Amino acid sequence: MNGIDPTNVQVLAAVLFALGVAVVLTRRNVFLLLMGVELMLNAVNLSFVGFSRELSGNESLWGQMTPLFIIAIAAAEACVGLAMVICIVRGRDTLDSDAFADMKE
Amino acid sequence: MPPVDLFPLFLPLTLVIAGALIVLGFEPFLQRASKHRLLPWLAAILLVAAGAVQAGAPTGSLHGIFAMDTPRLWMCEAIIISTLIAIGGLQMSLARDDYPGGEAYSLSLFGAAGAMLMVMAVDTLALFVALELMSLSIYALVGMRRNRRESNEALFKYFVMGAVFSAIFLYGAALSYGATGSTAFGHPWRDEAHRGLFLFGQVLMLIGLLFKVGVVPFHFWTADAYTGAPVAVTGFMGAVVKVGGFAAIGTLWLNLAAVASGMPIPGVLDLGAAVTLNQTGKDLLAHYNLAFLVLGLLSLVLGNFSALKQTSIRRIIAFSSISHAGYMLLALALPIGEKLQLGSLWFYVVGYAIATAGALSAFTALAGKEDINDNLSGIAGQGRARPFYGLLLTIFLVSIAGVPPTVGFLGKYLIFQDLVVRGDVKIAIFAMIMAVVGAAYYFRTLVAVWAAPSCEPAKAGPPVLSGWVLAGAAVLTLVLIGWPNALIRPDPAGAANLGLSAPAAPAAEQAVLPTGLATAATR
Repeated sequence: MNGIDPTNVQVLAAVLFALGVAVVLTRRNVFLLLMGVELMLNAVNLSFVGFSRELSGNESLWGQMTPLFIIAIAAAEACVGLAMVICIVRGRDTLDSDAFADMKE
Repeated sequence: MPPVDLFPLFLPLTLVIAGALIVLGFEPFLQRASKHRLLPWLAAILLVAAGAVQAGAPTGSLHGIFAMDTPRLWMCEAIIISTLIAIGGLQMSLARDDYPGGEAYSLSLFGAAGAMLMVMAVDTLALFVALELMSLSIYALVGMRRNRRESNEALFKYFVMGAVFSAIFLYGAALSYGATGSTAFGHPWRDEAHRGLFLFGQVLMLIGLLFKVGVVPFHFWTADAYTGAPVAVTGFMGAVVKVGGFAAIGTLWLNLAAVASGMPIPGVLDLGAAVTLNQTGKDLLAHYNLAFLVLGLLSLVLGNFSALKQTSIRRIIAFSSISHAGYMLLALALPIGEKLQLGSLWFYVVGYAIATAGALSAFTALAGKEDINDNLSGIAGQGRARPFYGLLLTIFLVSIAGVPPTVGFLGKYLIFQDLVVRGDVKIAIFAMIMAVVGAAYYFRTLVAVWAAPSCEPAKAGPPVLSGWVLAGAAVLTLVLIGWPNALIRPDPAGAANLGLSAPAAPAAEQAVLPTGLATAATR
């Protein structure tokens, strides 16, 4: 094991995850919301890969395999998300998420 | 747990997924009217076959990734039955609306497959894949009425929040993996330096799952998602997501208890087994325990009192589902003694799922075209116009409210009894009072259903499937009360595999239980 300190990888993953959360919480554009979610998922991938470098043998294998599953599922989720965007833009003609607050609390 | 072969374990699941694919394959080649005549029957036949096979499913674990045992078997059955009920309701609803597509049947079967996998998963990666299979299908079902504004809005809110909380769950899984070196549940942390990381990861995973079941600080999506979905879908998601979610939470909790108590790698835990806690484990889990109790009580208060104010039936059910999540959380509380056993939770989940799916499916019959009667004034007198469905709705709502002699009553009784045995008498009394508050809005709904008609009765002519299925489910809510022992009692085989002594329940004591109620003494 050489090069990058594993702790730094985890710090980077945590920062990326927090950025993703911040994007989802603050942005109003539907596409930016979806991008924030993608960023969170990829931060998780980075975290898994970082941990797999720290571990050895079979334990390391799980950390390399899991991101492959997550990438596939993130793609499926993006499909549903984009279908949803088409659906709602047809109905309201806007990408601003504040427009979707008609239902009473 | 003994190892089990792939094929017998997954046969029920294969049938469900085959049903989904067959329905999806036939859908484009059918006329619009025959879609709703033919496809639900295809789906129902495969579901019934899956249910029959599931009843004889082998118990054991598949490479430490999936597992099957008595509580899991019951929950898989509950999912299959709820889906069958939902298919009946969907057929009624979609045929009445002249809905152009038949994809909803296929989606609900995929959702059911996801929930069944969630119940069986004992590995975080498997659990995540299952969770997403269920969630993605249900997102699509919620947004089914593409031209309706509230449907779009519900889909948007549910999807964005659901995706965020899935990611939070997954980050928790990543941190737990880093701390333990395995994605499987029940691995202890590598060394003391990693204990904090492990516990933090478990908390993130719990937050992700608590969101799915709609417990209080994470409940905000429930009302909108339930109201935006078609009534038949509301019942399906209310039932299936709760079963899958609480099975996952229970698996996580039992494994956490075993790891915290320093049991040598517990392997695959039987959900019916009792986990022996030592003092270290209890100290470590005390904060979680407190959080479960506080969140459970908050869910009870907020769910019940918000439901009292609502007039839309779907919103009443949505807030009542929050309160039921509260009861289920209370069932997770740690025992005063040494053994943690979640039997009352499993029984409650099974009873709740069938009754909720049934209630909303029966309500579909009374709700009119595009669910136009979805409020207390709209439903007034519909029970008199269509007494068969009115009666079924009554039975299911009475069960959800927890009135004897229904399965809902026994579920609540067992949870309260657990709380009293654990020494949380005040909490038990408070929960009982909340159950009475809850009964108020169910009976308000029932009074409206049987009141003098005030408007046009809903159009008749539902297809036969829903009638048969619902009648069967109603019988089940009354009959299941006889079999709590299967779930309440720790499975001796599972306990033995953990290296625990078999539960101290003498055979004589089991024999004297008259109505099948497990007494406090046997714990």
